[in-house]
Amino acid sequence: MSEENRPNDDVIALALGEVRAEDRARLEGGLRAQDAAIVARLRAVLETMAEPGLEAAPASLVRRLVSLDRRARRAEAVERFGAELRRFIASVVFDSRVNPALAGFRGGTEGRQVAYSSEGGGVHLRVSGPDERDDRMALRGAIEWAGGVSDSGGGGWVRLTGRGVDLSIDLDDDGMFATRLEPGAYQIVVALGDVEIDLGVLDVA
Amino acid sequence: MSGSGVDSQASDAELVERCIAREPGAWEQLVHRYASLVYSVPRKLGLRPEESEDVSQSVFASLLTAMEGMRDRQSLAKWLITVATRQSWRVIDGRRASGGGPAEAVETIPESERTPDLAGWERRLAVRRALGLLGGRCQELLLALFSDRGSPDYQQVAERLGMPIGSIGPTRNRCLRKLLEILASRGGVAGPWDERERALLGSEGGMGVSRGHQPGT
Repeated sequence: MSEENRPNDDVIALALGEVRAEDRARLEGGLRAQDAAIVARLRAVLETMAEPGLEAAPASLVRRLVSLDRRARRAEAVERFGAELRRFIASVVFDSRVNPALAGFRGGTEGRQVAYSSEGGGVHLRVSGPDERDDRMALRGAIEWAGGVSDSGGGGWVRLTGRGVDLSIDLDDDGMFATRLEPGAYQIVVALGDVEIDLGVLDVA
Repeated sequence: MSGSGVDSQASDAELVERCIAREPGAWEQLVHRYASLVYSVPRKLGLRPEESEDVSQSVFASLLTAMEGMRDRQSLAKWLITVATRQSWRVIDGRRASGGGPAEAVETIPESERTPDLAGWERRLAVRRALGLLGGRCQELLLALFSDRGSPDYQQVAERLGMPIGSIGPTRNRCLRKLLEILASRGGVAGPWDERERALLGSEGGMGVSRGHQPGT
C-alpha cells in the first residue's frame, strides 16, 4: 500500500462510525476516491471480523487429514509395485443376521455381528443402531492379525466408501476402530502394513 | 508446523505443485492452511462436529485425487469450499431422506444455501490469514475491539490488555493500517471485495456495526 493510500485518522474514524453526524457529511464530501474505497474496505474487514469466523478444526482431524497423504502414497505404491503388496479377499464366516441363534455365543446380542476370515487374520465387526447421543449407525471393529496389529508395520486403518463418502479410520494399537455412519452399503477395506484385506460390501442398517 | 520445509508464504498454486511433487511437508502445510475453512463449511450448514469431520476427510481425500488435474491451482480455496458444500448437502439430503435425526438446524437450512457463498468464505479466510500474519499485540487488540458486533468497551479492553486507555486509539489505527496493507499485499481485497465495497459505499450507515465515540476522540 503506497504512502498516499494509507488511511489517515479521519478515514479510519469515518469507517468506524466515530465521527459526529454534523462532521460526517463534510468529511465524506471531501474524500478522495481512494479514501472512499478504503472506508468501504475497512468497513467490510470490520464486518467480517464481527461475524462468526472460521471454526478451528479439531487437532485429531488435522492429524487424520495429514495422514491421508501417507495413505495415498501407499495406494500408489500398491499400484506400482503391486506384486510386493498382498491383497486378500476376506470371506464371511459368521453373520448374526443370517444365523441369529449363534449370536449369543459370540459375546453379546446387541446389534449385528459379522466375522470375516482371510489369510493371516480375521476381522470382527459389530453394527448397532442409533442411541440418544447420535442418530447414525455405530460400526465397531477389531482386527486380529498374526503377530499383532502393532507388528504389521504400523499405520493400520480401515477405509469405508459408500453413500458418497470416502472415510479412513485409524486402527488403535489393539487393532480396533469405531465410527458412526449413515445407514447404507459400504465397501470396507482394512489396510495393515503391506497387506490389504477386502471385506466386500456391508449393509450398515 | 512440524518439520515442514515448505515456505508458509507460498501461494496456493505453488503449494499444490509441491504437493504433486511430493515435497516433504507440502501436504501438511496445505492441510494446516485449509482444515479450518473446510471444517467450517459443514458446521455453518448445521452439521454436527463428527459429521463435519467426515465431510472434511472426504473433501481432502478428493483433493488428493483431483489435485493433479486441477486447472486453476490458485483457486484451491474455491474448489475446497465448493466440494465441502456439495458433500455437506449430500449428508443433509441423506439425513432428510432417512427421516432420521433430531429436529436440528439442518431442517431449516434454505435451499439457497446450496450455492456456496464463495466470496463470503474467501473474505473470512483472507481476514483470518491477515490477522494471523499481523500477530502479537495488534492481532490481540483488533480482535478484542472488533470480534463482536456490539460497541467495544475501551476501558475493559485497556484493562484486559494492560494498555493505557489513551494509547488504544493510536495503536488501533496503526494496527488497522497494517492489516489493510497485509490484505492488499496478498490480494485479499481484490476481486470478490469489489462488489461488496460498492454496496457498502452506497449504504447509509455502512456495516451496521454501531460504534460509540472512542474515549478521547
